[in-house]
Amino acid sequence: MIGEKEFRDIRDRVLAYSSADETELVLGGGREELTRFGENRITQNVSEERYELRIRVRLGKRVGLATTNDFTDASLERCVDEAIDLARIQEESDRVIPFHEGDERSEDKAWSEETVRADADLRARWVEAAVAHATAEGIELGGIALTSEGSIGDYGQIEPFAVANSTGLFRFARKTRTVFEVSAQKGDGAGRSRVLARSTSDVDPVAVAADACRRCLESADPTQLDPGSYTVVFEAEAVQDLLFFLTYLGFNGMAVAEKRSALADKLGEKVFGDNITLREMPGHPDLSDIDFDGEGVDTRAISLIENGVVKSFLHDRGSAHLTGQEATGHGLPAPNAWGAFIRFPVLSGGEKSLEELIGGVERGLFVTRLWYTNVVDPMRMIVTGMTRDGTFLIENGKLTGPVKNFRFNQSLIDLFGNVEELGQEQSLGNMVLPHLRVKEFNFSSGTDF
Amino acid sequence: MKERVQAAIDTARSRGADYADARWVRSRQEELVVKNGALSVAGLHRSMGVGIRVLKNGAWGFASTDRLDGENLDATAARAVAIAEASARVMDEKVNLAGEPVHKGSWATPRKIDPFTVSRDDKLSLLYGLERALHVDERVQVGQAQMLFDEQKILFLSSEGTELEQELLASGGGISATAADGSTIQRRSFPNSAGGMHLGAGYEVIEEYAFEDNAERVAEESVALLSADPCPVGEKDIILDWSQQALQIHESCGHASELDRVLGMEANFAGRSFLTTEKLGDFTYGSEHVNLVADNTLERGLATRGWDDEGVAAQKFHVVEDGQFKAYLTSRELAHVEGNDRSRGCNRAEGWNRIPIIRIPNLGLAPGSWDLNDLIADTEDGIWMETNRSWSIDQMRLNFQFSTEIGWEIKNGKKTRMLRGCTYQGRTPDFWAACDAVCNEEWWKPFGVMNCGKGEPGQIARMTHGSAPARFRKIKVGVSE
Repeated sequence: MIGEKEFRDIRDRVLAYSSADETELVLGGGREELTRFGENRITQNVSEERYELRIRVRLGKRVGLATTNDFTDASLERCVDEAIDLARIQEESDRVIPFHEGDERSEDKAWSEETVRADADLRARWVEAAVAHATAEGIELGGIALTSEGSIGDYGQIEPFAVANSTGLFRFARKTRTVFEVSAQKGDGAGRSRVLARSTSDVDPVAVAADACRRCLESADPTQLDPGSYTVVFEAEAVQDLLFFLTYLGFNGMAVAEKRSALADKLGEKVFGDNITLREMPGHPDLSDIDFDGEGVDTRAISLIENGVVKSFLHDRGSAHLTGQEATGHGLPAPNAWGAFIRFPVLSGGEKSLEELIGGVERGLFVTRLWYTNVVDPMRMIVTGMTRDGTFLIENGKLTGPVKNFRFNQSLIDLFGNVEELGQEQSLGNMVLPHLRVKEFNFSSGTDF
Repeated sequence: MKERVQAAIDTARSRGADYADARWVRSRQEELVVKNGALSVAGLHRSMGVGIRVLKNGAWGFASTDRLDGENLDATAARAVAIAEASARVMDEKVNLAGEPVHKGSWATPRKIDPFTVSRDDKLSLLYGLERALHVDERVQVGQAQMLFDEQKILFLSSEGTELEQELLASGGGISATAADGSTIQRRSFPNSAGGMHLGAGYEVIEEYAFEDNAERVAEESVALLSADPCPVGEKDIILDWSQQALQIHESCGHASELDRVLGMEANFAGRSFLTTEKLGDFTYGSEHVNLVADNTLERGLATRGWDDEGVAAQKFHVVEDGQFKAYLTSRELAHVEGNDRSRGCNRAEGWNRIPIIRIPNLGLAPGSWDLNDLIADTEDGIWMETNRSWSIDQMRLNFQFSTEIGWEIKNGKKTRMLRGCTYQGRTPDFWAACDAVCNEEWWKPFGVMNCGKGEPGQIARMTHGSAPARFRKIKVGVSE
């Protein structure tokens, strides 16, 4: 794993090669090992060590970028030259701004030595224990056991763990991640459970398997129910998808700047229910991640929604420049066309347990997970998707049986205005949020299982 | 490098691997995106590394590295063997690879113009001009013009003696205009959404697409959509254009026929498939007009290559023939499930750092007999749906909902008013059973997918879905209202 000393050496060499007005380095990657299983056996077992160094240069109002994973002198010099060449030939743009200025800081709050020490044998033992539990119940398991050091993301994307530039800014972070995730299937019953943590010591593979297997058995033999408008209790895992799209569509400063956000002119207005308060909380004890963004800006604690009122947006330095705001530390490495993303979301919860939320429903549905959510209409914030891995009918305050999955088409503005009750906050490792009870949620069709 | 890669294979063998292969990959990518007058993505990306895959005691291990000195490559090979030993803790039957002749050879994507030799001045000049042309109205909030060129040089060696060199190239680009008026937002793209149109070819792709001739139209359509009528709600006959047809093939046939998925190996992430093994050769997937052909020998296909990433030669075969489900997409590990002694050559990896998994090949809808003008004239109450916008499908690949950027109502055989927010929903075999007409080969075009995600860890793959417009009867539309 590339350490701080090696990154400083790379920085010094790159800055020495560069004749640009400003030069920035963003380093991401690391080592990730993942054991994948399906049909109660290990089907893939991989290890990778991979880095990406992004060298960005500014020449006045022009910017160029080149990347490499070869840190020899010749490669770094060529990379600097390519970035400068690219900057030289483009048109000037007022969107190009000086790089972020800052001090030097290193951190390891998101790092665990246990995770670094984990090996394929440990992960195989987790899988072995989980499969043994499932086999006893005649259940088929699939899933992943992942340990990583660095910043390779869920979909293989390389996120930054170090940023430095010629203004003197230097940020370096050590980060580890552990995921143990299980999907259980028996006939037409399905269940899923996972733990996402900094340290392998937080993984109890049998507990995770038992949770998925319990849900799998409960969801067997589902009945077909007509689509329509229902009161729905969402387990926190299902709320996760909805919250991501709410922030992506509504609170991304670039979408605001380009008038693509339905909330662009709603700052200070009450748009959601009184009971909705959404904050971005770096430093929250249940949220472990690097606390600076891809531009080296420290991620700020901010309030996005207070009692239903839109309070602020997420800005990278680009959208901050366009809107006259300050960057909030939610940017991807620049330049990019995407804008800012939420990093430490906390949706404030209430006092009630999941059982109490269900207990307040005369007839409705309990949804444990959503799948393949996608945007249908960005300005009305309508998203579609499916339920998955356990959907249940609620009658007179009790779960009375599993039902087949539904497709939904739902405005998120309406949804977060229709929240009747919020349960106790749940930590999912990357978000803190409660179970929700929502009225008038729209299911438009069903499926075969 | 060949010697060092071979040494890594030898290391794996000396540590007890029954089989080993290794891929050295050097990739180069140029990505240029002009957005609202500025170069918003301007990247030249290079990466190089080696991935080593081994079988020991019938179990898989894979390790990859971008530190390419001999010592580290040997250590990486040893790590792959150790991982395989751990895999053997939780296995039922040993992996038994289907046979494949030993190949020695090379293959390169045919190209007329190497995109990396074209000056960036020329590329940027074209992009700036195209982007400017999109701002026909102040309601165009975002104009975007982009190009992407991606080259992978691959050396594949296996302990069976196969030695292959391939040079794969993808080139393409696109333009899009996004208009907004405070209450709605509409986008139009050309030639395709999601970054444009890409083919297995060189810079000539950029020259072939008449971007200049389409920029103004695209922008005007994005503005016109702001006040267009919404998609009607109900059942209509729909005719899908090439872009939407590609998405429909990809999601409802391509992923559904991946055998690893059918068997539960993707269950935790992307899900399973309704095309369960008892349906092979005995399931009506669609009407008799539906012929879906996998073809990694397709001229200019994004998945076209000499061999896949486990050294199996590219092939052409029917997945669906005359509406009947005929074949799965397979690898050497899973070919036996289909009763075959040879893989269909569908195992591909995103790069040096990832293990090959079953990926959708080039998969196209074979042409039918209709002229498009005749097909529209033959449609009384329908919608022409054009350019994919949004997609969602359940984990068994049955219930789907897709939408397009634009639609045109068809009344009594004529295209009439423009429609916005065109969505349709269906159940895969019912939908393909409702296909009653496919246009002929004069209307057949290849359309590329550059962003197909699958697997854990996630991998991106690319492939081409060629088709001609096709008609589907009585489909549920306007489903988001």
